[in-house]
Amino acid sequence: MIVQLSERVQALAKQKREMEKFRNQMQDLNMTLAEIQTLVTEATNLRGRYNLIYYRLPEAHISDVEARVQEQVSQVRNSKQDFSTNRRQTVALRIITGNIRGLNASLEASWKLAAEALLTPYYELYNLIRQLPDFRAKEVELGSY
Amino acid sequence: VDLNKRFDRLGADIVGGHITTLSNWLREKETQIIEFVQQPTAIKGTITLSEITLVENVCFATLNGEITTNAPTNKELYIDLIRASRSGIKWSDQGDQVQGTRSLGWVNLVKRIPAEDVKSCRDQWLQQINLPQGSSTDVRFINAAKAFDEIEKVRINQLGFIQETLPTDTDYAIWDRYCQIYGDLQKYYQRGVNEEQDELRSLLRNLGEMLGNEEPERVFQEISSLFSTLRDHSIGYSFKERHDLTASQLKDIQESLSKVVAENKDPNKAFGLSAAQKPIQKLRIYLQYLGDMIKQVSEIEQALSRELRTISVIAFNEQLIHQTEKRYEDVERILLETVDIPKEGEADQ
Repeated sequence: MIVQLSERVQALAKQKREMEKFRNQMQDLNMTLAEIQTLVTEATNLRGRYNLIYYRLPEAHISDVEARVQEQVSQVRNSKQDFSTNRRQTVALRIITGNIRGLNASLEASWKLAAEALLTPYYELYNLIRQLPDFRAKEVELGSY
Repeated sequence: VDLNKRFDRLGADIVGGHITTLSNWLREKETQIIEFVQQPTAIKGTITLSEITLVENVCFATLNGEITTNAPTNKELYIDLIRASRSGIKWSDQGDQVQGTRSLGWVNLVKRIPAEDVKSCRDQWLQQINLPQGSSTDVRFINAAKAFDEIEKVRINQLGFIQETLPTDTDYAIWDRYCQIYGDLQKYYQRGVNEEQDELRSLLRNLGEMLGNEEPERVFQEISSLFSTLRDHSIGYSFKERHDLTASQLKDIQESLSKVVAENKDPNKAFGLSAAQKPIQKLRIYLQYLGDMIKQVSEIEQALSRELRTISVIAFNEQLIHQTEKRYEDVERILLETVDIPKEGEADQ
């Protein structure tokens, strides 16, 4: 009776320790998953932006972006490898997310510049023709389009 | 003729007749008269006062836990009785001493007998065998031979509960008192002894259930390992481990008491139970200790089981791991897709 009881309780104690380990691991996993989801969002944004404007960027800028993206890929791979032994990858992922967010910001700025460069001739032309009497006469009508 | 009157004399022929009658009567009653002069309180019968008090003393010593061996020889029993008669243990203390150690039947029997009767009975027996040496008034000797003979007799008679009717209405208060005690012992002693043996058997059965089929050494090792595990796992418990209680002592107790419960011959059954007073006390301590331990550990088991039911995370963790690994693949794929976009003109090549 005593031996069996003792064996059961010791098994439960060990199981409890395992469970606590799993519970802590679950917290780590949840944090890692939340962080990587943010990273997925940022990466998706990056892909969309880059796809939209890469052909309008200077070659040097494209090379720089692609090198930086490759660097993030290798960091993601490192983090994935570390994840098999350490389920909490929040710091590594946060850094990658920050880097990609930086790339996004950079692309946004570049896109702004590219768009402005694209539209500048049209604005200049517009500013020019709006001085013409015919245009002025029909400005209200044209403004409604 | 009135012999009280002066000068009244019986005639020689009449006196001669009376003397003849008196002589005949004296001759006829000579043995009884000598017995009476030697032991004025003796009652003619199959049992003597000395035997009655001996039997009672054997019972008292047994109930008092003063028998020292399971199956004493006559000499050992005699020494135990002498020691018990002179011991400082008061009978009245026994009620408290046996309470919680002995069975209810045994305790009630002890309580039934007044302490002063025990003392008086012990003194009486000693007096019966402590005789004056010759005509001396201050030199006495213990008539051990007589005591041995009587012990032999009462042992043959299963503690001397002779079935013949005891003398009643003896005109001697001392006889009446001892006969009454004897009668009580006849009625209750055997029952008390049997109850005690039954309870001891039950205690040993409880111990057996607690130990399972394991040796005490294995059980004590397991207890030690259990509490070490609980400490290592920071699981709190209020149970106090007692290092003065050992497996070897429990094993000795278990073995010696098993012999006591296996004894079914009447005199030795009671003697064994008497001699086992300390082991029985110890056994109860072990049972209490192990019982408390089982109670506490069972509570811990229940608490752990409850706790574990609330932490069923293993399967969920596997799911999370899978999801996270999938996200890693997604990120990698998205980033690679980002830089693998066919450049203008590359698609045409």
